[in-house]
Amino acid sequence: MGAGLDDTGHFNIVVLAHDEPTFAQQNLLRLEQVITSGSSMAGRPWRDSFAIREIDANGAALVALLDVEQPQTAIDALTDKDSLVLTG
Amino acid sequence: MAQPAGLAVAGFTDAGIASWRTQFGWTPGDLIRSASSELAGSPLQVFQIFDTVPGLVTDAVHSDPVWSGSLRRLSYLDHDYFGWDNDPGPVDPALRSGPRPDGLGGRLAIVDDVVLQTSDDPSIRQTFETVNDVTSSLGDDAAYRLVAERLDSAGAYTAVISGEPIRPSADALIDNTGRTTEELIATFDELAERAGAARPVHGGRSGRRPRRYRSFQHRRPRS
Repeated sequence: MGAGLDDTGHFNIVVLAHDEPTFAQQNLLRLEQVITSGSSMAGRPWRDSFAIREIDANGAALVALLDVEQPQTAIDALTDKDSLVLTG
Repeated sequence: MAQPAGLAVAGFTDAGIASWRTQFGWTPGDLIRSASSELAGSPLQVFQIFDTVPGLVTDAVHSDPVWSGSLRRLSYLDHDYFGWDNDPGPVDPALRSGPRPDGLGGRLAIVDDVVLQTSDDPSIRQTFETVNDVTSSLGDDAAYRLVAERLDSAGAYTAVISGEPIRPSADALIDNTGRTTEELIATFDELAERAGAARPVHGGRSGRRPRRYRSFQHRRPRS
């Protein structure tokens, strides 16, 4: 999870590395669903925190750029083990 | 008020920020990039600083009124670096500050335009071994390298990279739930008892007395 800042404003970067490109494609769809219709463990819809700017699965990597108001949002979700990206 | 053992608050007050300048020649506001790792329990912090002038850092560590007296010049694998005599302790609570929350001198090096800082000597030596290709680095891990490259190309100025499984945690409940502390503790009580992870020190399930959990104890101070 990363954070960036450009002329548009703050954005978060989600990068997932996979063993196979197929898994990256599958997770692209899952991540889109989580952001558009999922919620945090505290019950806050993720779409209230993130707006998908760009999402792409290129090879084994999934990269999503998410517009945010708070630059730490995705990093907090990772460190708090919140429900944005859960892995086994 | 006496300072609690092992716990010291050192925020970004004006004095706290000034102490960065005094001790290291720069402040967090000067950073353009930073990275940290706690792999294998050996904390490493890497800083890249706006307009880094290595002389500023060197001048600061030599002129710092508190720490310069214990300054040592060290070397390993042709890299010069700084250490301070009080490592690894005992810790003087008066030495705790924003730049050094644990009150320890640590280790500091400048490699090109990057400042390396570690809490102990083995960590910074390991870093030099990595810089000199004596040992492997995280960059040799294909998955880590892939993630780091993509974050970099996307323009990340900060990032956290994890190779650990991410499973739901109650940590995420603490923020923005709108619930009272008592409700949160009651939730934790149920979860903890179900998981057998912690037992109430006093107070039964039906009691309303405050409860304490062993899992809330702080780690022992390093002094």
